[in-house]
Amino acid sequence: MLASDEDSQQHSRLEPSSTPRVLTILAFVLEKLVVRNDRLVDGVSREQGKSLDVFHGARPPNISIIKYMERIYKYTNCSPSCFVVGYVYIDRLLHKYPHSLVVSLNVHRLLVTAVMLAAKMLDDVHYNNAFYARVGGVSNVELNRLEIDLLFLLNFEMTVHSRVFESYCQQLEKEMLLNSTTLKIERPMISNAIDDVTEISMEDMPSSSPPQLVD
Amino acid sequence: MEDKYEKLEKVGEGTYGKVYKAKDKATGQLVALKKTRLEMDEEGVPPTALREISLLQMLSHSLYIVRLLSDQTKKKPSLYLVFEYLDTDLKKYIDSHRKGSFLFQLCKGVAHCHSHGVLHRDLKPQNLLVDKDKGILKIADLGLGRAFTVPLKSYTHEIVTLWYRAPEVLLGTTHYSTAVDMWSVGCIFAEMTRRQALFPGDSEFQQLLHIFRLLGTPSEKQWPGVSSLRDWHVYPRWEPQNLARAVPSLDADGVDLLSKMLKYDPADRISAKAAMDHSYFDTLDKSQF
Repeated sequence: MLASDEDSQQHSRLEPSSTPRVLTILAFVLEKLVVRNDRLVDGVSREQGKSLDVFHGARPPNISIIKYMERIYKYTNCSPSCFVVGYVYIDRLLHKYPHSLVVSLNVHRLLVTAVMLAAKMLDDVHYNNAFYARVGGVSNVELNRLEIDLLFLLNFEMTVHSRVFESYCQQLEKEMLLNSTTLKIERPMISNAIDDVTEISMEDMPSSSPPQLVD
Repeated sequence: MEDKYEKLEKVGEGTYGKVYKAKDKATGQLVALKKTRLEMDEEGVPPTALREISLLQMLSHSLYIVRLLSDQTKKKPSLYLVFEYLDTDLKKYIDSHRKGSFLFQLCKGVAHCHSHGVLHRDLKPQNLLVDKDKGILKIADLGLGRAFTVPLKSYTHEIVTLWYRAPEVLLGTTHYSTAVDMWSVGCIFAEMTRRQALFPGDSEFQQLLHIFRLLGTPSEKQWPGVSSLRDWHVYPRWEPQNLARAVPSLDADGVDLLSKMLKYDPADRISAKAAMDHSYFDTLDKSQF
C-alpha cells in the first residue's frame, strides 16, 4: 500500500524529516500534467479551464508542487491518505469538466483546498480553514470561498470508497514504476524543521514576510 | 434562498444547525430547510455537514433515506440543505399495527447504507421520519455517519443517544462496525412494541447495567474478548431474563429476530440484509417496498 500509516510512522522514526512516498509520486504526476497543460494554454488561448477560474492566481506561486505538498503535510499533520483522496477530488473535477486544465496558476490552490477537504472527510482531528490558509499562503476568506466552490463543482460527491482509493494508489504506483529514473532526480530536499509556520504567499510576496494572522 | 422558500416554523435543531419547515413559493411543496452555520469563519464548512451532504448524495436514491432536494448558498455566508418534508417521526408516532412494515423499511434503509460502506451510528426514533398517510419510514440525520474510515470514540453523550448505543461502544471498543447500527435497530424494534424504551440508561454505566439485567452479564464464552475491552470492569453476574417477557405483545418470530439483533458478540449479530429475510416478515407483502 502506498500510504499506510505504519509505513509513514516507521519512516519518520528512522528519518524524521522524510516525506511519505505518496507525496513524491503525486507531485511528479501533477508536475507532468502542469508542464504539459501550461504549454497547451500558451499555444492556444487563455480561454481554457473556465470552471476552475476561481482557483487561478495572477501568476504562478514561487514554490514547487513538491515543496508545497511537503509544507502542507508537515504543518497540518494530516494523514498521507488525504493526499490520495485530494488527488481523487481533483481528478473527479477534471472528468466532470473536461475542458478545464490543471495549470501552474491553479494547481496550488486546488491542492490545498482538496487536501483540506479530504482531511475533513477522513481525519478525526484536523486543523481548521484558518490554519490551512496560513499554511497554503492564501487568505482565510479566499480559502473559505474555494472550499465552497470546489464542493459545488463536485456536487458534494466527496465520498471515496476504499476500492476507489486502492485503485488510485495502484495507478500512482504504476506511474512511479514507469518513471523511476525521473523520480530519483525528484528526490525532495530535506527542509529544516521549524516549529512555527513560516508564512508564504501565493502572490509572490517575499517568503520572509512576518506572520499574518487572519482575524 | 429566502426568495424561493417561505419559512413556516422552526422544527428542530440538528447537530450543526437549525431546521425549518418551509414552503416552496412556486410549487407549494413542503420542504425541510437545514441551515448550516458558516459564520464561524475560521472553521469553514463543518465536517459534520460535509459528511452528511456527501453521504446523502451517494445514498439518496433509496426511498428509505431522506432525499436531498438541492443545496444552495446565498452569496456564500450559509449553506442550506433542502430536504423533502415528512410530517412526523417515529418518536412521536408509533403505530403498532405497522411495526412489521416500519421495521422492514428500517432494515432496508440500513442495508442500503451498509452496502455503501456507511455506518449511521446514531439511529434512534427521532431520526426516523414517517409519512403517516403513505406508511413510509425514512432514515434521516446522517451527520454522524461516516464512510471509509472508522473513527475512535470522539463524540460526547449529548450527540449520540445512549439508549440505542451498542454494548461494544459503551465498553470502549476502538474498532466497531455495521453491528452497532443493528443493535440500535433492535432497541427501536422493542420500543415499537413496548411503546417505551428498552434500555433507558442515564449514564454509560447505568446503560450497561440496564442491558446486563435483561440479557445477562456477558461472558468470555458468549463474547470472546469482552473482558479485555477498555472500559470493562467486574460487574455483578446477572442471569439472562426471558426476552419475550420484555416484549409481551411480540410473537415468537418477532422475539427470535429481536434476540438476533441484540446478540452481545458483534460478529454474531444479524445483519440488516439477513434480517430482511427473517421469517418474522413472512406475512408482510414485501413487494410494496
